[in-house]
Amino acid sequence: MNAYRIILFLFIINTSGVSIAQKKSLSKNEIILLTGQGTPTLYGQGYDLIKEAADAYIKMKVAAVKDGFELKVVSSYRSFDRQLAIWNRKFEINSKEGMDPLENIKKITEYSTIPGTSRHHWGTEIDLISAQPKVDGDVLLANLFEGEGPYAALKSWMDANANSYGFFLAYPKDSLRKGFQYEPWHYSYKPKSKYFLKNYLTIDLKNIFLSHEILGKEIFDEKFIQEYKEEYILGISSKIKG
Amino acid sequence: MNISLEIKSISSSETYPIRHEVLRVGRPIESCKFDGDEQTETIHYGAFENNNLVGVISCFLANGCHFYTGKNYQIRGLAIQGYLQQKGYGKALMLHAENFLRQINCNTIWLNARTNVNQFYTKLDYIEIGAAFEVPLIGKHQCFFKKINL
Repeated sequence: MNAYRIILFLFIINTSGVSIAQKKSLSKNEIILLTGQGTPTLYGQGYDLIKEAADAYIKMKVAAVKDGFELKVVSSYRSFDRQLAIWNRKFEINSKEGMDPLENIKKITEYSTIPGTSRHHWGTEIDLISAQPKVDGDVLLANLFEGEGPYAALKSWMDANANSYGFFLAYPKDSLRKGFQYEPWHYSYKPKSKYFLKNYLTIDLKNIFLSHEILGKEIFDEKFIQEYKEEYILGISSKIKG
Repeated sequence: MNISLEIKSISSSETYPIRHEVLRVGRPIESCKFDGDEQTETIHYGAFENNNLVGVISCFLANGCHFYTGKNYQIRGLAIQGYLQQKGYGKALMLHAENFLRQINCNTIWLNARTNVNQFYTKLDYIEIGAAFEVPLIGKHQCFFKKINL
């Protein structure tokens, strides 16, 4: 009887060991959510974030207002379909200007992601400016956040405070970083997004791309997707990788 | 002359002189300190006319009155310097605070108003709730509320 118990005990240890070593496979619903095709529960007035990120954002917003900064989110959760519309619109414009598909995709991915691969699908990301001073036209330009730019003071405040609320720049200025350009406005709520990233990396992107009408998708072969994963999806701040 | 009104966040101690002059006349300055003034969640705004502070408002994360579930803020210490009253500055402060509280997912704003200024709040779509009550040394009050997020 004792021997049986010992064997059973060893069996339990062994199976649990295996399950830890195995790559966790995601449920269909998790894949749908991580690629922006689901209906997550979102919170916020003037922004859409998952609960934990919204709560942290509110704490940061209250702290900022006391230091004289009125935080304003210009983009937060974005669905697959919204990203698809952005992508296809840019692709069509670039095509008309005579770019070949590869050139076109390189151009779009300076700042925009292939649909299904945006961190904005997760409800943990914000593009952030301040409500004051008012800026006309495109507000998401790196030079507005530097030197004498209207958002330079905001950037300094965020540099000093954002991390303590869990928010980190996703695409910082870093010559070693590949992929998307420097985005001084894009913050990620790391306590959640680091897990989402880990899970996201297990998704078979080719399937997602093939099942949607993404312009230029004929370029997305195995090699392209592998490079896109390494340089773009992982071309993020080392501080938010986990 | 062009008058510009600017609303900015201020510290709790900056509210004291105006609270004193308008809301606590003849009483010690200590009576202008409110419980919760220094809480992290508390926000004080000042209205500046040509860079002079002329009005204040404070928002406290607090349950009370008839609101005990959700995230509720109480507005206290709305005060405008006497010679500048009736110019819409109080309304501007209220709307500014409301706008901010809406963005931080506050469900209900509530306040206890002196009954002689009830109209000010009803015009801003605040709703009376409960019976009027007496606050010692200050006078008769009425609780009002406004739902800003469901």
